[in-house]
Amino acid sequence: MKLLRYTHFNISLSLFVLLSIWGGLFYYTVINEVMDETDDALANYRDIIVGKALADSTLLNATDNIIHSYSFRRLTTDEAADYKTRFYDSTMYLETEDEFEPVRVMKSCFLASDMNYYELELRLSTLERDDLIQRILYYLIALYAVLLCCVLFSTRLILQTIFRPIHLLLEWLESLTLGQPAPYLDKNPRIREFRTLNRAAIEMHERVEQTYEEQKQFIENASHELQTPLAIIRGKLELLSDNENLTESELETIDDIYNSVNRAVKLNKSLLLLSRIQNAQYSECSDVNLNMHTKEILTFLPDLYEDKQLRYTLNEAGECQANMNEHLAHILLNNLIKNAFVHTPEQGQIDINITSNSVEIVNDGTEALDENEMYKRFYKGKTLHNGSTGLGLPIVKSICELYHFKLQYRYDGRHHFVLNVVKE
Amino acid sequence: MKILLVEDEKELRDTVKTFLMKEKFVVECAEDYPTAVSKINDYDYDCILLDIMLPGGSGLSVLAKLKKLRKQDSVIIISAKNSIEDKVEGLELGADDYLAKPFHLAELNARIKSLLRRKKAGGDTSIILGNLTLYPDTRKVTIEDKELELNRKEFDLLYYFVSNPNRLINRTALAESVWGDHIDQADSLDFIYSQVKNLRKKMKTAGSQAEIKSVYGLGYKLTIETT
Repeated sequence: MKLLRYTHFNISLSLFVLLSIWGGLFYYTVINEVMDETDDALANYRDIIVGKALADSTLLNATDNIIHSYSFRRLTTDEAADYKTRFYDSTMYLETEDEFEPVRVMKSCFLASDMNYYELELRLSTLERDDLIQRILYYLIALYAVLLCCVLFSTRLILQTIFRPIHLLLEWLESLTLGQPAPYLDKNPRIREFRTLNRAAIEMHERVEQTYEEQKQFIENASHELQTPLAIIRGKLELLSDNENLTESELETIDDIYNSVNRAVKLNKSLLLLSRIQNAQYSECSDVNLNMHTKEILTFLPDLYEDKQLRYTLNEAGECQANMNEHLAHILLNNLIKNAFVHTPEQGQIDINITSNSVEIVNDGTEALDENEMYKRFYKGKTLHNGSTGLGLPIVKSICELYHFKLQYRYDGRHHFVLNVVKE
Repeated sequence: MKILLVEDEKELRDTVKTFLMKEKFVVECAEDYPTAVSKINDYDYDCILLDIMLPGGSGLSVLAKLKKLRKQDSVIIISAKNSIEDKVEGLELGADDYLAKPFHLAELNARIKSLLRRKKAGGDTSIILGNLTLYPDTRKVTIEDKELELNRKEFDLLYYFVSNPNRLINRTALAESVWGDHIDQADSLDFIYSQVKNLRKKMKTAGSQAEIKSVYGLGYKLTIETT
């Protein structure tokens, strides 16, 4: 749930409940006031009528039905003893209208001039009052609805404005990619907390970027600086081995040194390549035919592993074109295919399936690889593979990341590496 | 054959110089930018080996100066940077070849010789060793004027041997010259044996005077029987 919706929902819910309570209370207070008004009017009429009746006893036998109808009834002394004035709602039949009309009735008793107790029943039409109450209700409901809508709408607008810097910051954070310039982020939003937050984020990013940059530079410089001494060692060894007077064991020693130097050279090259890929130094792109490169690799690689007597097939269901750097395409495929050749047990089977948008490399293997570990630098797996750089798959991964290709791995008794060249 | 070696690192300069002198080249050295510039101004060379990162300036500007002087010297760039941009820029400026450090000396030798052959012979780039003749341009090999059928890899192997006759060639250098990037240090180089064995057999059957000999532990040597 979005922060905005969550906050807005909570505010709305509490406003809804509070406004409802307030509306209910308001309604009942108003209604009470209106009722009281009617009852007060009835009491006033009673005082007037009773006054008149005391002055003119003939009135006791009269009734009035025009504005407010009233009637008198003589009470027995027993009835009069615990008489209580009552108000209640009732209806009255109106002949003129031929219908029942709501009335408010007041019953009270008084001692007339003839020393008898009379009950005065006063009826007041409440048609107008009910009308009024109904209107009040309607207006109240309308007011309630409009008020609620206005409040909800304005809080939403206000919240949106308040949360805007947060959203901008989140978008900014998500758009960050190491090694690439950061997009613009406002350093001075009006609200202090957001200002602090933005500045902290920018500062953090700059620090991370700087560390990343330094690390990259270090790897690249170290690799560069190593090239010359390695070239010297290799050259000297070549000169030395050309010497006619060397014994067999001396030659053997030279060969060992030579191989170790070569290993260092390869390692160095791989590190340099990795840092170059991550520096996006291979900017030149073209449509590369992966089928062609795969075939080319397959003319060379199998030679290297002829001892293992591997069988391999290439199934081309389509032409796979990828928009990328040609050199990197070659390295990508070479590393993946080489990986299969290196890790397939002797006399195993390797199948390469190419479709119009993917390259799948399937090879025999005894155990699934650890997906979390296998792309890490210098991860050597469980099987001892002497002298492997442990940089093959990290390079593959870097290339895939550079071009947003998807590389999937699964194991179902055989290793499946699926390279999808449709950009995500 | 006169070669100018422009390289700032003394040890590497000495190593390459020693190696090239064994190949009967006349080698002059320049250790920084001003020396290199004054040497190309004053003399003509058959081939210039040019490092890019030099004290006092870039090897690429040496190359630009050379081209401005309209000199015909062949240039091989040897660089520690090994970046595509440098390579492209160097070749665009008119360098003939590009070799990344650290290189095999035998590889350097093969490249220099290939350049010089192309330049000297005015079209004829063939290499003759005894009764064996190799034509790099048409990728053909003849023995006693009879063509020797070789596949692509066998030809590449032989070409490398022929460029470095009478020299011990390390298995790694040999493997890298043909299989290049496909090899890494994890690979056993045993496969080279069978590849060379096939080549050797073909040459022997055809009666070649040049013969590939195994040198224990290290690699091979191409020798020419002189009868």
